[in-house]
Amino acid sequence: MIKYFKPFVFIICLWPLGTIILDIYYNELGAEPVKKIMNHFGEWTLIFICLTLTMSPLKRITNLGFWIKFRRMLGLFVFFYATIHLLTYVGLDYRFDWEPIINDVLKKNIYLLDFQLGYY
Amino acid sequence: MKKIKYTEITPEKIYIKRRDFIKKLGLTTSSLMIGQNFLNNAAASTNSLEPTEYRYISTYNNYYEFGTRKSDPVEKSQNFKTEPWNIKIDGEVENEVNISAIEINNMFESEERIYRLRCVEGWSMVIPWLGFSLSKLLDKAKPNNKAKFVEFISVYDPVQMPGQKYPILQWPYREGLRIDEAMHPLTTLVTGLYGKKLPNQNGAPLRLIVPWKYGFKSAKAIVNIKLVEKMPTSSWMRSSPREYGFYSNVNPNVDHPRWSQASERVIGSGILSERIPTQMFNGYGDEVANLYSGMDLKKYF
Repeated sequence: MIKYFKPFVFIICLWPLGTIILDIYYNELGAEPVKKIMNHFGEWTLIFICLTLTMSPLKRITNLGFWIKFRRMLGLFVFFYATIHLLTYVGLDYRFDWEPIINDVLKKNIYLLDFQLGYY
Repeated sequence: MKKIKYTEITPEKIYIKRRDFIKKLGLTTSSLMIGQNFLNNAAASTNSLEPTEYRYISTYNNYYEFGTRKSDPVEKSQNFKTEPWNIKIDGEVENEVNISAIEINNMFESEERIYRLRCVEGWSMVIPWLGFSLSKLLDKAKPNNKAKFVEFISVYDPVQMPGQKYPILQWPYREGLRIDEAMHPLTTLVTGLYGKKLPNQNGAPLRLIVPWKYGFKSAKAIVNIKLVEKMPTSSWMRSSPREYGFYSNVNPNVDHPRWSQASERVIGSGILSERIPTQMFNGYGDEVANLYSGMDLKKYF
């Protein structure tokens, strides 16, 4: 049972990637596409963090070991989406031009939360 | 010591260009990810006065009277009534003026003015406005010698403007200019856009455009122009004086406390286009820099 369920969940987890690729391909991202892509992956990172953290409590509440089998996969998806999010910011928005990035990250604390979350 | 084979050594030519190489690597990956049809758009981003597409100008707006999302103004302003519309010019004037928007349209001939618009949030557009210099209208009111500043007051109508039900800003929206800024020929009273009537979401029926200042300085749906002696407090200054100053000239050297103002993203220029450097006074320095000679623009931001 779990043998088939896991690949199924894996494919579902790729959904946010699929939707944004379609949006990019059909040019449906509106006036600020780069910002939208960045926010899209940022939001999904947060959603996957929450999902990952839900697995252990679910196991305790329902008394089913089943949930725990998904925890690592979901955690890796957190990393996956966080990486794309960061790459969009560094690569697509700032073209790997580090000076303004360092300037913004160190001097303003608006991005501090993002980086702190990335660190943990 | 293990001997390094010659073939393992990075050639000097490549070593020197290693950062360039990484940059290109990144670009290649992202372009592979994205596909072909954006490469076309990417070219249109440079610092030209190529007007932004109408669909972006008319759907991507900051107009908090209708809500704080960029899409709120176009969605919620379509039934907004702009007729009848009266504007009062009062305060330190010799000749108080009460005039309707239609009379203004008939009295002053609007011309096409293509200006860059730089939002304080870090994006920009190029917009073909229809309008005329505000000074022509102010001259009708004959400001007296006590008139040092001009205050612009936008409409207050929470029934038609759902955003005004929330105290996001002090309503009605207020903005201000120094009298010499207001009399400058670039300061435009806008009546239209892309050769047509001004859409509601862009500030119909009459709005201001001050092209060398951040967009929020250009009040929309104006009902009252007051000439005053003391510097007025604008809605944004009241809401966050540390972040939004009275002058708010576009200035790449003065950061917003929360982000840099050195570069901007051009709206509608496509996914692969680069940010462009922001210009001092939004590129209108030749015309307006003399208004601020001797002023410390870091202090008077």
